[in-house]
Amino acid sequence: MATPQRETIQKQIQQDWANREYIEVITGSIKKITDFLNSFDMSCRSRLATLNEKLTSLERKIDYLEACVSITYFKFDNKLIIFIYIYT
Amino acid sequence: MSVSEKVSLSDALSNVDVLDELTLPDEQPCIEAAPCSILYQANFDTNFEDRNGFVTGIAKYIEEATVHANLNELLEQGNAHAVMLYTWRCCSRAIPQPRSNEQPDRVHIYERTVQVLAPEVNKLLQFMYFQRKAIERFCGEVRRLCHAEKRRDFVSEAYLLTLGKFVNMFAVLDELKNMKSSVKNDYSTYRRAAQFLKVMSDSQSLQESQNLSMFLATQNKIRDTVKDALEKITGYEELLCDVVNICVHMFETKMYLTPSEKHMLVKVMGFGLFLMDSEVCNINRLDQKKKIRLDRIDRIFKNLEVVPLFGDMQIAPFNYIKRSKHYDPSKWPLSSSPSPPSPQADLMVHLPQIRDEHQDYISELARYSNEVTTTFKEAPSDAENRAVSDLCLRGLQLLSSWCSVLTELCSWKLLHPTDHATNPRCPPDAEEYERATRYNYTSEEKFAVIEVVAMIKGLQVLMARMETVFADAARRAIYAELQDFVTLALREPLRKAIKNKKDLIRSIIVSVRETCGDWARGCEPQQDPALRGKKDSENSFTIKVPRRNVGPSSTQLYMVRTQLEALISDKSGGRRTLRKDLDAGILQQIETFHRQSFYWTYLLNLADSLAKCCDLSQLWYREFYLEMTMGRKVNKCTVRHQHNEECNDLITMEKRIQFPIEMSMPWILTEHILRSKDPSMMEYVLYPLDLYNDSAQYALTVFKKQFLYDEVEAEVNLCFDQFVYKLSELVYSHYKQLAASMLLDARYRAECASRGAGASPSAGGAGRYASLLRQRHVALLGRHVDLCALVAQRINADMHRALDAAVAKFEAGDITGVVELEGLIAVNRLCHKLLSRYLTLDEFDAILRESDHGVLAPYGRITLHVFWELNYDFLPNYCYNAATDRFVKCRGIQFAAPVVREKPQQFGHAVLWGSKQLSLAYSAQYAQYNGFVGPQHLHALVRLLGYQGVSVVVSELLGVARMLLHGNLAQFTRALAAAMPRHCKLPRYDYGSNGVLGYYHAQLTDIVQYPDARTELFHSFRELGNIILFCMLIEQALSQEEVTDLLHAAPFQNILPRPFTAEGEKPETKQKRLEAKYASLQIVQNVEKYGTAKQSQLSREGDLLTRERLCCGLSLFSVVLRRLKAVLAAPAWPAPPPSQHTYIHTDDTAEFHRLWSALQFLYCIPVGDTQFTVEELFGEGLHWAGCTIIALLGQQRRFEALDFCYHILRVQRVDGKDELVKGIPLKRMVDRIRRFQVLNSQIFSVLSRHLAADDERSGVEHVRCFPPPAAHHP
Repeated sequence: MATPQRETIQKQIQQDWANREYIEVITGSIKKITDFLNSFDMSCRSRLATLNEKLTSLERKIDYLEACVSITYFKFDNKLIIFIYIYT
Repeated sequence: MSVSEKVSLSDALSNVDVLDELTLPDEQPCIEAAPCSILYQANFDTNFEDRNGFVTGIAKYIEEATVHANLNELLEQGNAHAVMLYTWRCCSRAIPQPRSNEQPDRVHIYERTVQVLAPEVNKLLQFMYFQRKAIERFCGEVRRLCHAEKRRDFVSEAYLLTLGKFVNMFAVLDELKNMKSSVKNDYSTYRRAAQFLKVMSDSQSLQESQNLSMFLATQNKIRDTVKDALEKITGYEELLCDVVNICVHMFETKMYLTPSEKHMLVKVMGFGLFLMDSEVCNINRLDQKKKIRLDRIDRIFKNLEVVPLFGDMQIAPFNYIKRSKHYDPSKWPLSSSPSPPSPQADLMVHLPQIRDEHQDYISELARYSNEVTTTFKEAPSDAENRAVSDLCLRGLQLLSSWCSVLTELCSWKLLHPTDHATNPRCPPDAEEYERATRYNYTSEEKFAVIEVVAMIKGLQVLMARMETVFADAARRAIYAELQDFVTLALREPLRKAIKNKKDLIRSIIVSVRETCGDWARGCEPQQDPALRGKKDSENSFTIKVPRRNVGPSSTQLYMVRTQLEALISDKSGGRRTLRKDLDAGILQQIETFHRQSFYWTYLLNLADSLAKCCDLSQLWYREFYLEMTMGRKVNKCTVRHQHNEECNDLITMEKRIQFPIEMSMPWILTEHILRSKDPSMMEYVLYPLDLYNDSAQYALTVFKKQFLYDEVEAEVNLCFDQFVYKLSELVYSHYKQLAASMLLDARYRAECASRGAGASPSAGGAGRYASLLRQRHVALLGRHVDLCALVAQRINADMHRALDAAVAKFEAGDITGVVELEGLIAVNRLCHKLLSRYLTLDEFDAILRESDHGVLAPYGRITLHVFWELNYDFLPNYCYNAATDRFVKCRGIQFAAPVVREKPQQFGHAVLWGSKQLSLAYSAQYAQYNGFVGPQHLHALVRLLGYQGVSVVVSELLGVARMLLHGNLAQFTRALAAAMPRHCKLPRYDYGSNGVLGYYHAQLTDIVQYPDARTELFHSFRELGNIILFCMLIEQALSQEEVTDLLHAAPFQNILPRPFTAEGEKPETKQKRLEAKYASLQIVQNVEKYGTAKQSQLSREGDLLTRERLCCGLSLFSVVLRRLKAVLAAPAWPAPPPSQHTYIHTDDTAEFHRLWSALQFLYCIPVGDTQFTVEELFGEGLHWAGCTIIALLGQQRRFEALDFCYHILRVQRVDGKDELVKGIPLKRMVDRIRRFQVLNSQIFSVLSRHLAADDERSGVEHVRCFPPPAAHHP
């Protein structure tokens, strides 16, 4: 009863299994890449947030120091004269 | 890499694997739902598109697959229509209506109305067509299956289930259509406009319009049409019986995964029975015939009284039964009785079990995931794959069951709103939706809901992380099981079927094997003896079953399952069933396979199943309730009184398209945590917020409605702001309370706590904010929010505000508040330190200086206020008392004008001490420091002001002193000097003390009677004295602080106390041992050893600075004295003409000390009992002022020798007399003189010590040379 036609169909189905496995492997890999990108994203966000925080803190410190130190400068006798007042 | 370069598959795959090895640290604790920026889901469901590939299968089932494909498409369309109806928002309310027929622009209005509404109306038309088509199609299928020939034939499970889905769809669409009155309103608006404009001119469209109008207006139209149509089909009830039975069977054996599938089964039971029960058919009779089992359905309906129908619409499936024709309550004992209430109404019943399940599963998962991450296996065995895939399925089932418990609870609550009678918290005029959500949950229930949400979301994260592993294992396990079953297990029955010539069985098994066999050589091995019906011979035939990482396709799976079902079905089209031709063993095997393979679809679509099992989006949707309120909120008379007719006038309609966030479930839950401050719940706070993510996702992907997403987004914006605000408030007040409690004396705190003041540190709760404060990317609607930074920003502002408040509080009070100010600053400093562990805040000293306004000016608010208080309150009003070492105010008399200060502001408890109880405790503590100025205040002052502030204050005080000396005091001195007798002798002892006293009294009568002496002159002296005393005491405090500092620093500088040595011990060895012991503390040596050159230099310099801080012995008080001396040397001070090295005439009264002697005589005169004494009025400041001036003028010795009072004392010592001289009791006078003499000599010794130290330091050797006296005598 093993007609050649049946055999072809069985071969086709077998080929289908192989193809689908190939697709699954590719899909799985894409999934892995997606997971990687997601965790890369999280990690970057975390680190950027930390960096941002440090920068903000530094900026605020500079603001504070700038307020502490008031600088006056003017030209006198072709020389730049700078006065720095520090209230501490 | 260039594009043309070829990359082999294995290279590509290994590249992907390498990604795993990159470390991606993320330091935030995971306390939120799975965040994903990229979502990847592959869907391999072909909806039977590939059915023709499996021609080897039995044709009947391939045909059926075609039918399935069509029906599935219809179901999808039906779902789209349901979404359309559910999300329909009333348009006509927004459309202006022409007020009268005369309105000129009415044509324009109508035209626009038609234009706007036409596309919407078209959707309704499509809906009507669809339901017609679907009913037709459904009835067609039923008719075909109920055909007399076919009736006894086997109908597959998948087929029945699809029919069940149709039944469900009709129920949903019908209910939605009934509910949406806005659909009808919109359509009638359109129709009015269209009729006016005569858009529908032809009779056909008019007819359609009429039909649609009727269709929309008739309640239960779809349901009735289906029922009518079905009743015309003979034997339809038997098919429906099968449908209902399969639902009951699947429900009871848990053959479903997602909550919506579960609910669908229940709805089909209800609606199916309703459809069955008609004139021709009685369900009770069917029950008697055991066609259906009403008792089982009754139990199901009781357990699940309410199921979600669509969104926030609910349905009680039992209501269908109640509405049916032959409803008999006795058949439904459980469902028809209201008590006991359904278990779905009470979450607390389920909670312990859910907790256990969660714990067990989490532990197993953790064990497995550790195994996966620590060990690497090339290819896991079949059994392992099987175990993992079972684990995964169990996880999905757990998630789904928890999720359905939650949704069922919410559904029940929505259908059973509370009211004022059952819940007193619910106001009588609460809105409908409010009664269904906001007031419908007890605190316990809310916590339970939060906990379950957290468990669902938490487990989802864990499972999503392992998704690739799970999916991989599931595919391998499924493949192995399928191939093993098909190629090996089916071999024996095939052999028997061939041998026994059972052709039907043989053809089914062959087609199963051919549909999904994955033969090693591409086709079935022909030499297999089983194919010829023979047993395996000696040289046994083996089949190698391959292994692959792929599951069967959806069509393949359907074919295999349905064909196998045909084998084991006990219904087989009139013929005897095939079951009898199969062995019991193989029958069992097939049944098991059939049951297990049911779940394969879910495992093969893992990502999708996982998302569906955890979807809680429907907790937010409220289209049904919005429809009910018709976009209005009714405002009634809110005044508490007996409402009368007038109140009706106050009823107004407020236009509103959404409910406020207080009624929204996600926010209710979030806020509940924040309000209760329950530390065990605090870490769950982000999970309820994640419900918004679910809803937004649903709005975008399922409802596909922009406006719903916008509404979610708007709500999230609002909620998140509130969330951050409340959270930072909580965090700040928690740490403030913690700091305040830590600084409170332990015993005092315990005492407070025992008296119920509750100032203990645990009063604020343990507070678990640490992991919340480390959230740097909280995913909300695709955005990532840095929660940590937001909270830090707010708390920074709070810190500023708190210090501002502390300073402002000080400014509103007198100088004694300085101790409290220091305490407040200390609490804030500790709070800052505690918070800095988690948050990046500004430096505390910077904040303090900013609040003190000391950044832009050389001195700040505190210094200014201290000086202001000294000048306007302290100097004029306080008197010094050396015995207590305190300045106090004179009892009952205000010397100067009352001081006007800034009005004290009101501050919240959180800004000051953290809580009301702590405020009480601290204010009781600091009340002890009111009313006097003592060492505590001076120490606090010194610490707060620092060198700079102290110097500012002292130099300002010196200015005041100069003003006093050159102003008031100079004036008085001049005036009094004029009143002094020109000469005043020291009378001889012979006169007796009474005589001496009488003499002086007579001589000094002008001075004694000087009216301003007590009211003004002495006060001026007292103020001067206060300045001098203040300067001296502040220096003492300063040096004590310095010494404390140095002592603290000593061990780090290798300055060790001399060790105790017993006799015979060498102190040097002991000293050496001590030095060795503390070697690790010594900064300079250690920095030199381990640090860079620069660091060591810095440390050396710092060390030097500390060591030499006190060594030059600079004394503030000496400077003050020197300055005062300079003031006295100025011409503004009335000094007698310089008479250097001349004779001193003991009778002369020109010098200041003589004047002071006169004043001393005045204040030595005792006063009556009712009068204020000099000490009470002026304290010791008076004496300090006089003595300092005398000492600075260098008249100390002359004063001591020539003073009037001292003379009286000396004489009295000799004669010991006591009598009343001119009303002055001599003895008492002498006693007073003696006391003041002691005081004066103490003052002089202090002064001379400072003056002498000053002279020494000037480094000049004082050689006194006496020039010959100039003749100056007249």
